Amino acid sequence: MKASDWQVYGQTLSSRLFIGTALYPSPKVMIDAIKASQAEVITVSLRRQTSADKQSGGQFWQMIEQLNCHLLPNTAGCYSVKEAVNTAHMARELFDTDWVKLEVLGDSYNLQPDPFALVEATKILIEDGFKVFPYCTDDLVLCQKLAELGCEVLMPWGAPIGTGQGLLNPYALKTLRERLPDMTLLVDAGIGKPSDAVQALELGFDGILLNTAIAEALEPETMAYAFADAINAGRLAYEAGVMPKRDNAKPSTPTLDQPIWQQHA
Amino acid sequence: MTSNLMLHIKLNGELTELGKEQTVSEFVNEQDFNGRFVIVINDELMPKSRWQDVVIHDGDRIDIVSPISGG
Repeated sequence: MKASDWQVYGQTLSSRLFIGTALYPSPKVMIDAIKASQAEVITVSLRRQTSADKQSGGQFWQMIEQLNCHLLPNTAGCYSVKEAVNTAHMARELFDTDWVKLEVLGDSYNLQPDPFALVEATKILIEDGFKVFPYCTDDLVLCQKLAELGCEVLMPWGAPIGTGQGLLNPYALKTLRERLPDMTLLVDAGIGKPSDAVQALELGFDGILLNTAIAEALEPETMAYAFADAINAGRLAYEAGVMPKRDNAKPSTPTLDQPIWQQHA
Repeated sequence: MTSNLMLHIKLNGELTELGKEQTVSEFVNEQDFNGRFVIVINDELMPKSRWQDVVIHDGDRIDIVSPISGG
């Protein structure tokens, strides 16, 4: 059984996985893993050419074109509003999309987003006609501000980028889900294994954005299959309604008409 | 109006000489860039729609920006 379709900035999607295109051991492994993941959105980036890779942009472009996925360019490595806004404009021209995964980093140790710069850059880019997917922390007030600015999607971290630590603060993520019930929420960053993704989807998150967990698996293609199944399972569980936890045991087998000698006080 | 004076620019961070003053469009044809790219001049995105009108000046910093993998 397949979980329900969903919408991202008016685009109907079937898969709830956004997947990155970096860190794979080879282009072929990347293509195979992305296909296995069934992702319909892939993240890409941009950089100044060097003399050594004058043609690399063309090769990479040919590879991702054959995947026929929606492109989500990022502003990775930007530490200021100006850098991020300029990069977003370059990405729009380069990839011919108004979607942008907005990263404005504030700390080089844990690659934590700068919430203040993120809000400022989001405001500018929305005014410039972009559909912003902000990579943010799990701070409720920050997320509320981003929603007020007009973001239809928010992408709080589960843990710092590339750490594979899973959901370090499920309480904060659960709070976001409860306080922003109509917002499309993806966990972006920190997912290490399929069960982390299941946990996020069971909390009611709409999707997952990941890269390293698949690209750096021993067998990326197999791990991509695992994530596709996990994400579908997590969403189905959320849609089915998870039972509440109880402190006291409750028998699952009916006790009515049980033979008298088996009853206990 | 363009002139035949030699220009010194920085192309992708490297000092480069251009034989004459030229538009961005002429520059792109001359350099024979491959693949998908955008042009950034002095940190400002140069949309394709302006390539024919904008003239490259001595000292300009020109960056060719291309797609790469990203997470």
